[in-house]
Parts: sequence; C-alpha cells; structure tokens
Amino acid sequence: MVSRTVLAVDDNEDNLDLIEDALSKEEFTVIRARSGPDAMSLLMSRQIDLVLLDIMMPDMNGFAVLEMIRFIPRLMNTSVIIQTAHGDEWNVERAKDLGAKAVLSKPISPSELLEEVRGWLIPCAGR
Amino acid sequence: MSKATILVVDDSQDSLDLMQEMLEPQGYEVRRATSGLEAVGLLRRSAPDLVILDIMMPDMNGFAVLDVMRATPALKDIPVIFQTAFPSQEHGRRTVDMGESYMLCKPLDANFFVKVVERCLREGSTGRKCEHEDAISAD
Repeated sequence: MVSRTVLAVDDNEDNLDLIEDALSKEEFTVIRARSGPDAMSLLMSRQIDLVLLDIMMPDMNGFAVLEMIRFIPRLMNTSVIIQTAHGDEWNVERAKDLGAKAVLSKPISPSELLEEVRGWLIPCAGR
Repeated sequence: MSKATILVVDDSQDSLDLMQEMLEPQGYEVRRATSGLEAVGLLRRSAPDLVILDIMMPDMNGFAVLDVMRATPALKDIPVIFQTAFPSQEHGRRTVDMGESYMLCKPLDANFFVKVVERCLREGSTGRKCEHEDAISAD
C-alpha cells in the first residue's frame, strides 16, 4: 500500500510535530520543511501530494511559496492548504486568489486538519 | 567576447535604474526583476553570469532567492552580490554563513560597485572572506 505524501511547511517545530502527530496516525506520510526554500527543494525533488503551508515565515513567506508552485508546470496543480494565525483575515483572500484549497486558523485542530486533508486526498485512492 | 549578462533584483525601481545606469556603460547586458519571485522565474528560464540581490524584499527576500539558487543545479554556481540599504550584523553574518563574500551598502558608489562586479565575474563570489571596501579600492 502506497501512502500519500503531505509536505508540512512551518518555521515552528511544535506546529510541525502537531501536524505530523495528526496525520501520520492515518495513512499519510508527512515530510517536514522549516522554510520556504526548503519546501521548494523538496517539491522539486520528491513526489508530494499535498502541501500544508504556513504564511508567516522569515525570508520567504507562504505566499511566495504558493506563487512559485503555481508557475512551475510540474507543481502547478498540487493541492495546497494554508495555515494562518488569527487576525490575518486579509490573508484568506490572497490565499484563495492563489488557488489555496482551504485556509485553516492556528492553533490547528488535529481533527479539522485531518478532515481537510482527507477531503483533498483520499488515502491511496487510485494507486 | 560578448559581455556578461547581469540580473539585478530590487523592489525599488529607482535602485534598479541606478544599477542599470552604472552597469550598461561597461557593456554588460542588464536584466531586471522587482521581486524575489520574479527573479526566480527569470533565472529558471535563462541563467545570467551574475546576480545582484537586494536583501530586504517583501514575500521573498534575497537570502531566500540565494537558497533556491543553491538548490538548483543549473544556478548553484552563479556568483551573487548582496546589497542593502539597512546593513546589520545579522545580515553580514548570514552572508558569510552562506559562503558569500559581498554585502554592499546602499547608496552604491559607482566605481566601487563596478570593481566588485568585475571581480565577481572573474573570480566568483564564494569561498573567500567578506571583502572590505578598502581591499577592492586598492586593486
């Protein structure tokens, strides 16, 4: 059985732990990236089925990662779910404009996260 | 021999104009990008001989552009010059940590800038200690 791969991108280790705990109990493989450039290298070199993307990161924020995904042909159809801190409502519009599937508010609720990821990735479907 | 192609990246049009005015009279072909993302897009299409990167830009700063370049085989050996209007010890430390030698401060002095560009094109931008302005001027 081949599991689907989720790339979790966040500069906060605790949040990456939370995501990994929530998703790896299911059939998902979670790969971690701690920065935008890390995320781009992994996207270019690995098969990623879905990206969970933090917005506020130093050097390269989530919007820049999302825009870059959209202009690289091999990656442009990758599903992306945004995670954002409270009070960034203006972010939601920009994320949706860039084709994000969903916007989750931090702190992330594991059950909500799992539901969204499942919604966009039925485990092992079609493989 | 055809002259080198240089990509200049800055979110300020004035700063791009200024660099273009300093470089074109030297015979260099100058390409411009107004954001880190636009720079990565241009770099993916064709690789220049040198990239001059502003550090502080929204969404994707100069350090992130360099990170992406270093992770891309076709781009990893292109020399890079950083420039910033707000130099800090943190930026200097990161420049050295990333193996780069040049962090220039705005406003750029035309003669000094052109000398750094020439040296970078000749010798690359990595693997030496961070250059001090006097060392270049004494060339």
